[in-house]
Amino acid sequence: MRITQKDIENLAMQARIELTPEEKESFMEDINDILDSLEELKALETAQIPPTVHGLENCNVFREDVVIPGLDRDKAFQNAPEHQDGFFSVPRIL
Amino acid sequence: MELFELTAHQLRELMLKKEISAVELAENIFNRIEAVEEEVQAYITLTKEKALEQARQVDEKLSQGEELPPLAGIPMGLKDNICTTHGKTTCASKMLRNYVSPFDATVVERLKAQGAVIVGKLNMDEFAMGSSTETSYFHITRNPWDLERVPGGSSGGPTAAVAAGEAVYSLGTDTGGSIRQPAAFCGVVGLKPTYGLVSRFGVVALASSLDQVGPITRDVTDCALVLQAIAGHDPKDSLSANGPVPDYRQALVPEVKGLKIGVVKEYFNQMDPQIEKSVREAIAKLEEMGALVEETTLPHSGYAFATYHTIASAECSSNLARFDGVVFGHRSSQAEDVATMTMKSRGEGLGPEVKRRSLLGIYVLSGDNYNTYYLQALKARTLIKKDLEEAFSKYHLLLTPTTHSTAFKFGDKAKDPVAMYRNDLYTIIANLAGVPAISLPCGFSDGLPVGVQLIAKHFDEINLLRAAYALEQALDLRGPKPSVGVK
Repeated sequence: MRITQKDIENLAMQARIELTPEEKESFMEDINDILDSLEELKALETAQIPPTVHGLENCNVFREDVVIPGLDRDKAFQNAPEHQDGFFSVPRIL
Repeated sequence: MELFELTAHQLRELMLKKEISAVELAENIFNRIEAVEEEVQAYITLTKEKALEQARQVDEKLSQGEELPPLAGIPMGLKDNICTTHGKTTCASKMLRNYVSPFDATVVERLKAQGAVIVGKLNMDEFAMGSSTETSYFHITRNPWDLERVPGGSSGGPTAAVAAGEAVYSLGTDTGGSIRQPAAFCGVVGLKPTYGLVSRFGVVALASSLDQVGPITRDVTDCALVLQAIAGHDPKDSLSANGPVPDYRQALVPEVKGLKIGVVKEYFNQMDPQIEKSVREAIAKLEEMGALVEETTLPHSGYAFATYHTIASAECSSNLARFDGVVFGHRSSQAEDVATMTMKSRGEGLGPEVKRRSLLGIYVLSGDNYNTYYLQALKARTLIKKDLEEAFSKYHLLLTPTTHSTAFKFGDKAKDPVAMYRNDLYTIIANLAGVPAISLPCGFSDGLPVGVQLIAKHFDEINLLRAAYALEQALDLRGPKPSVGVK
């Protein structure tokens, strides 16, 4: 199944990335090529195989519930595009 | 030999004998950078003042007779996705072109505690997505062996800098081969440690189940020293392994007698005959030294490419969702409201490869595709991991070429994403299974370096380094030098 320009627009919306018309065109071709290269995976018999999410065995790692100092507020704001009164500020929401 | 051609352990000897000071060494490296950086363009940011200050501190300790850690006073560089409070951390992206981290990555803290002299931040493919360093927002980096060619990627800056004498060693990151492939292209040593051995705290994530930080060095001895400095548990990285860290220097013996090595037959298909010749010579050397070498098979290796690209793009789309123009990074000046701010900030701030992979990642995760692509890839990952477990029940190490070609010319693959992705064909299995792998130089093809890859089971960096060290000593490739700066 080939993905269409409309599919690309939907994906771009979900990814929250504005694309130029040229990008839509070239990404449609590229992603179809990449998806073709992923096709081989579908032939693999995996009904009885459990998934692996990462290379190690450890999971649900906990630490002691001890308060440690967090990031200093000034430092947290040092890269903010805009901030005001101790908040990150953004354009209107509604 | 010039100072900038020496290894960290050689320079340390000179420093301890008071033949050079750390400041002299740092100045020597900055002079070298001045001489060749216009051609190589390995760095995005240089932090000379801070580096000289760090060097002065080392000299002071030295004059007071303090014992110095192994990497004290050695000038090094960091890939620009490793956070430092000094200098920017850009990930070679317009999105983070002005970003200064409020904290140091754990690996940086550990190197600073050693007295490392941090020369600057090194170029890379944008957000570590690429195999040629051509997707950097700032500039390309040239291969010091042939300035018409790419250094590989995504750690192209870190490998080019070490090859060109612009850093004694560097740290890179490896998600699918991003340390080993450029190390092979630039004729240096590159190690991807076991997943979880080195903290990723403060390293900008690409694909969290695959990413690992590792050393890029001039020889295997330096590789062991740098690994020693950065390895070990970090509570700030929840998947960091909580086990003891061995003394990797014990691996530095030219002794491989009885070591069982499996040569992966699937990875000798469609390859440059010169590369095959060099790799076969390396295999013969290991056999001469008493290693037991056999051909072996990884039956599911043919699925590794599709498995890797499905998983890596899915994880990347999730990790890169954080760049929304709110808390840090590029914010579009055209924003009318929050929704358009995010769309436009990401549209303007991210480069084509990052966008392409983000879209692909969302595709393989959406609706029915989750089962047909993403979950299927996770299951294939189990089979690939099992293949490796099976192999490691018979062998201590696996051996493959690192790449199927030597460094290619600029633009050769930039327009064909699938051809570019195939650069990682032999390196991605180590990331999928979480096992350690090293690339070291094993010869030349038409004057360009060739790399051989060794792979070990989880946390067996000792055997990995031991075989690599023995091979390095036996091959003795110290003759040819990169062409850069040779005028």
